[in-house]
Order: sequence, then structure tokens, then C-alpha cells
Amino acid sequence: MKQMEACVYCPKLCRHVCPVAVSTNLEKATPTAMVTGVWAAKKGLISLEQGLEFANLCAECGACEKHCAIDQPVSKWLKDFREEFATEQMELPTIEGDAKWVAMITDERDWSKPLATQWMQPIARCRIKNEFGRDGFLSRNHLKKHLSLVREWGQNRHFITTDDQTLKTLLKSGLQATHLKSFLSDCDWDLVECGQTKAGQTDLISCCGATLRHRLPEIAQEVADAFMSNKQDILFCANGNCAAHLRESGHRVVDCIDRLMENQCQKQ
Amino acid sequence: MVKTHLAKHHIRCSDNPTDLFANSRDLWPKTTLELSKGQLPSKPELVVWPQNKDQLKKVVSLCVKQQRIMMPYGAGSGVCGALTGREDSVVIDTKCMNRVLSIDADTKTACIESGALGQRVEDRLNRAGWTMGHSPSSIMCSTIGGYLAARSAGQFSSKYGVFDDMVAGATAICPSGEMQMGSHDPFDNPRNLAVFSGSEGGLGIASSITINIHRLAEKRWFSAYAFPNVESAWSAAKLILQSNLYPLALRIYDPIDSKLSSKESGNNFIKSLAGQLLKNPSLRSLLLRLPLSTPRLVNAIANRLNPRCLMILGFEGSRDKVAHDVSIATTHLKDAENLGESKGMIWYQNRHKVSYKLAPLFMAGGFADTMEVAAPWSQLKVLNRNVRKAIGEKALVMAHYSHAYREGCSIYFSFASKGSLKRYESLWANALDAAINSGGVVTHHHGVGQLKSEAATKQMGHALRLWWDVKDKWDPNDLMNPNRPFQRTTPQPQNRQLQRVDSTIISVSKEDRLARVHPKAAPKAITTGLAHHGLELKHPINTPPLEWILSQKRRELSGISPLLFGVQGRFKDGAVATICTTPRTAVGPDLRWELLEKTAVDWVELPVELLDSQS
Repeated sequence: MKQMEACVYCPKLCRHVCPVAVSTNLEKATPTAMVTGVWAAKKGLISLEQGLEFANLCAECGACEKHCAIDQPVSKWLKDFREEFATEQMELPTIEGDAKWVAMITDERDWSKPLATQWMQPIARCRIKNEFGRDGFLSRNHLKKHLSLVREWGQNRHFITTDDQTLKTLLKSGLQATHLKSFLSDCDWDLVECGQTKAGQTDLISCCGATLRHRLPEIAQEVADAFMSNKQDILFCANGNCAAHLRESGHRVVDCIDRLMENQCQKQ
Repeated sequence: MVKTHLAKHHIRCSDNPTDLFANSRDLWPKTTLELSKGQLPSKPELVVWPQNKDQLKKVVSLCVKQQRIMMPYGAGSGVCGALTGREDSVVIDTKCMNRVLSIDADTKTACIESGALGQRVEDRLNRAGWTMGHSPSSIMCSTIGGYLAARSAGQFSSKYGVFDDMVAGATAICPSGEMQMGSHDPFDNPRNLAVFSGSEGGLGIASSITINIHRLAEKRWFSAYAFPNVESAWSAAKLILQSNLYPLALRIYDPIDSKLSSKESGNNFIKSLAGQLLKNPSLRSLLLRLPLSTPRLVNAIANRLNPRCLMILGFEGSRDKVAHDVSIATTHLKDAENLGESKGMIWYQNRHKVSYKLAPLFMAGGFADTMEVAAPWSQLKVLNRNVRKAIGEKALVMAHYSHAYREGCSIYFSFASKGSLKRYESLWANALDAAINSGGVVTHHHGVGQLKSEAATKQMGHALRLWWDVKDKWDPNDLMNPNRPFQRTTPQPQNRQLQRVDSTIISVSKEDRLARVHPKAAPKAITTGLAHHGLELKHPINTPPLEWILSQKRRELSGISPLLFGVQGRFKDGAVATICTTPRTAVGPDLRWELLEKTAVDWVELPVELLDSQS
């Protein structure tokens, strides 16, 4: 709480690198305002619901933290506040099939069958719903609420995912997991590195806002549009959440699953 | 009602409490202090985000119809309370108007929408090989419109001028209609742009601003020098600037600031230990509370420290030009110890980090603030002593001297004390009074807001009649940010002795390189008169001074050397108004052109050179 005050009293020095603040031009979407809102809610100056509104604006890209000269852990504070007061319930997804290899399906494209064909072996399927009840990715919230269950659920399986966050969650749970991109043959693509800006080009939006896509869809759309205005028309995205978000926002994206469908996937 | 109408025009707006909360404060330390004590500022009724000039026009027109108070809001980083929330107001947030509309290599100008953040504009220009030349410490958190509204200045003002000097033209939407000003106006009338600049939202809202831009320099050079005391550093600075050099930066730190910022060499072990201790927020708060509670003692001890102080000097341009300027500048630095280019570069690379230093003081239960006054060189010592004394009674104080020009310099006081609102208010009142009584201007570049409104009103005196004339025309129902920057009170007569002399040369100051001359004197008579004092006009004139000034467009002599003049005029009822802008001022709008047009001018003050000086 005390350390948070350094943001409350700061002249908003990180606002120009925050993708949400820059894309939406909303004063409340500056990291300073978000932290001030959470701080004010904790002090009882505004309601907890309003504090949660501020906390929900953060895309967790970490650009503000990278820029901050006094190392304020802004996105961690906002995430902790969301997790403290969020009321969504998440259920463990169901695995269909007995095969050891499990494809994590996160949208309408069922790629378990093409993969099974290319690998000439059965592939099980797992469809994930996020805390908003929509197709999504395995998040830290799943892990937090159901750690022992996750371990039991995934025992003796090897998961293949198209999303970095899901991969991290699975590995942190002690399960076997691999990103689908590891199985793809080389191809030329513009790999989107979220959360990073190119040196000397601070006006580029560093994050597509994928983590906002179900929480705040309109804001997420604005961030996606601003993000893509500086990128090429077609890009390859290894982060499934970002790819799904950009595609839903109406932008052209090629991802691991598209490459798989082109028969590019070799089991190693 | 306003919200419903705006929705019909698809203009984004919100009365969501989180938007109202976020747009209800700027960075005025007084409201920060209040917030630390749990007091929230008043919230507006609505926040609106026009996307372009047409939407801005609709918003203003609607608010005028419904008689709603309007407050412009850029990035909200002003430190004087110009944008502190008002109930029942409509905040017009300009940040959606953020495009660089054009970059013109022939005229060396760029046209930019007013809501664009300074850093993002500079990045955009840099990619095309240009620079604004405007680098305030707030560049990451301030807008182009805000620079114009407050008559901002950046760290490179000695070379590129203050923002006033950079603006070629602007378009603004006012309750009376659309105003095209400066180069946006086919007649390029200097008066409208001058009076809009520094109006702090009191006349209208800029939609786009055209600024002069400069090619990125081939070479940039910085170095640091140590002087035995501040006075010797001032003397050197004056010599450098009056050699017709335009340093990129020339900054002098008082002995305390020189030591505290680790810029001067010191005991590395102690600094390292202190650094480690101060990383812990709770320990830091505890350690800061003691000096905040005993400012007079701490100031007294600090004043007995070694008076050695630091100067940062920088030049930029072509390699040859930089080498030439450095060679001339160093002839004036014989009293100084050369600390090397790396120390100068350290300042340059870390120059924006000073803004992180305020928060710990609020966290320790105190407050921190800054005060930027300015005066001609001849008044600087008195201004420094008197304002420092006024602040030092109740707060820890240190200062640096930057934004230096031929004619004078700004003093930037930083101070901190216990977190009492009463102490905060009385400290400011005393310090501003001291500034006025010492011949300084009460603000060099932060603007007026609420903080300095009373002092600014006092300083402007009868000149404010001209402001109210303009205000009544452009905003007849007083809907634009009312009572900011000025309040409608009867102006106090100025304390200065008011000269009305019929001679050609009324007064000269060799130290400040300024002369006051009769406005209708013949050029030859002025030349002869000044020659008696060993001086000549910096800009030769071929008509009487008043006529000559009125014939100049704002862009004439601009670039590095803008048209600089002071003026005293008399109204029909005998009331006198004096506006001296040296070295620069942000005390509300520039009313000199109004004064020239609407009063009987007693004298004009013009820059002069020593006779036969090297140019």
C-alpha cells in the first residue's frame, strides 16, 4: 500500500508507453490512474467496484514497469486486486479421448484431427472455458483455485497448446506440455513479441490487449486496432490468446494452427 | 441533457464515476496533499472526447447553448491547479485529437492536433529527421495544447526558445466561434495568438497548433563545470549568453542541489549506504520526516556547506558550429574546473528522472513543490535571496538556475516541508510576494492556474483590463474555465515607480542588455542616445520603435532570436500598465500587443548590444 503511493503521487511518467492509455486516450486508463483508483478503493475513498473497474483496464503487458525508473510492480498490484475481488468461478475443462497427447482447443478450429492424421496416432482433445464462460486459455486463476485437481486431471498426459500462458500454467502445475510451434517446420514470419517495444520507437503500441478481450471487449478492440496500425497486414503470432483476439478484432493473422492445416507439422 | 445530445452526434462521452475521478485532478501539489489526507477534488459532471475539430465545435456549441462550464483537459500534468475539478462542469479531454497532421520541410513547420502527447510527437518527428526543440521534464505526460495554454518552456529553451517562440499558428474553438491565429490566419495578426497563448483554457480550446521544427543536429555536446560559488557561475553564464551564443542547455545548481544529486563528487560509501537505506519505503519515510520538521535548522546547516556548485553546459548543431561555440564558451569558464563531458552526458541521459523524486516526500507525510520565477540579471541576486528567505522559513529549499538568456535567467526553487495545508498556502503567499517585490515574474513557465492567480493578478495590474476585454469578446458568458487564470477583482496599482519621460533614452541596463526608449523617437536619435552609453540596438530599426514593432509579424526574427520587447502604456483614465517579458514570463497571456494597440505608450524596452561587440 505504501509503495503504491509512489504511483499516486507520480506525474504519470509511464502513460506514453501504456498500450491501453495510448490506444483509448482515456485518462483513467493510465497506469497512474489505475493504481490511484485501486489505492483509493483500498482506503475507502471510492467503492471497491470502482477500484475493480480501474484494475480491469490493465492489459498486463508490463510496459509501464519496464519504463519505470523506480521499479513499481504495477501490473502485479492490479492483478492481485482483481484476483482478490473477482467472483468468477472457473471449472476444469474436460479431456475427450484416452490418448496421451492432448490438443488444447481454444476456438472453433478443431485441430486435433489434422494433427492425428499427420502424426498417424490418436490425439485427445480438451476445450477450455475461461472465467467468463467463453473459449479461452488456461490461466493462473485455474491454477490458483484448482492446483491439486489440475495435477490429477493432467496426470500421464502430454498437452499441446497454442498459447504461451497456457503453457506456463501447465508447466507450473508440474505437467508435461509443449507449444505447437515447436513442431512446425521453419517458415518466414513476423513474430509478434508482445510486451516489448523496438528500441527507439516508443510510439509503437507494445501490446495487442488480448487479456482484455473478454473483460472489456470495446477497450480490447481499440488496443488491437492501435496495435495493428503499426504492424504488417499479415503476421504470425505464436501467442494463441493474441492471435484469437486480433482475429476477432477483424485483423489478418496467421497462427500455428493455420500452419498445421498446411501440413507443416512434424512430430519430433 | 448534454450527454444525450452528444450521443446523437456520436461524440464519445462518459459520466462514469471512474472517468470523472480520473479527470478531476491535475498535478497541483496542493490537491496531491489533500488526496494524501483523504480529500478528493470535486468531480465534473461529464467528460467528453472530441475526435476532431468538427466534433470539438459541436461540443463547445452545445455547452454554450446549455450554459455549461467547460474545462479543457490534455494530460493533466499542470502543477498550478488550472484543471482541478469543478462540479457541474464538462471536461473536454483533447487526447483523441492527437495526430501529426503535416510536416512541411519547406517552411520547417509541423501542424499537430492539440491533444498529442509531447513525447509521441517528438518520436514521430525524430523518425522523419526533425525535432521540436521543446523538451520539458513533463514531455512524457503533457500535450501540445497544454504547452500553449501555459506558455511552457523546455530544458533547451536557451537555444530553441520557450513554446511561445516556437508557435507559428493555431486554430482554436471558442464560445464566440472558430479562431484562426498566427500563420493559420491569412492576415497573420500577432495579437490573437499572443493573447490565446497562456490563457489556460480561459478563452477556448486549441484544435491544432503549427510549430517551428528543426533538423536533428549532427552533433550534441555536453560538459560539466564546477565553480567556487553561484555568483561566479552566474557571471560566466552571462558572458556566454551575451556573446550571442545559444547553448542547448546552461544550468547552474546551487551548492545543495549540486551535492544532493550526486552530481558533485562526494563520499561514495556514504552515498551508496544512503541509497540502500532509502530503497525501503518505510525507512525512507522515517528518515525524511526529521528534516521536513526542522527546515530552518537544515537550511542553516546547508548554507554553511562548501559553496562549490555545478554548471551543465551543452551545445548542438553542425560539428563546426559546436566546435566554434565551445571554443568561445570555454574562454568564459576560466574560473571553473572542467569536470568532463561524461558528467554532462549523465545529466542529459537522466534529466527526466528528477520527476520521480517528489513522491517519497508525500509518502513521508510532507509535501514537495517547485517554484519557477525569473528576472533580468541585475535583479537575480536580490530575487534569489528574498524568495529563498521567504521559503526557507518553513521549508527545506534548494535551487537551480536554468532557462538562461541574454537578458536574465529563471530560478527554479525546489522545496519540501511538513504536510500541512496551512503551511503550504502561507509559504506560497510569502514567496510570491517576495518575488514581486524583488522585481521578478511570478512564473516563468508553469503558468498561473489557481495557485498564482492572486499574485498574477497583482503583477499584471491594470494590464488585466485588456484581458477582460478579450475575454468578454471571445467568451461573453464566462463559460471557459472561469476565474482561471485571473479572477475578476480590482487590480492593485503596481508598486514600481512609473516613469513618464519625454527623452529619447529613458533608461539602460548594460548588465541586462536592455534599453527603454521613447516609442516615437527617430531611429537616428536612438542610435546616438544609446551610443553615449556604449550601446546599440540588437535589431536595427528604420522607423520609430512603436511603428517598427507593429510592423513585425510574430515569425520575424524568430527561430533562435524572437522579437523581445517590454512596454508601458497609459489608459485614457491615466491608469498605467507595464509588461516586461524579460527574460520570459508565463504570467497569463501575452498582452503586449493589446497594450501597444489600445494605450498611449510611454516607452518600449528593446534588447541592445555593446557597441562594436563581436556577433
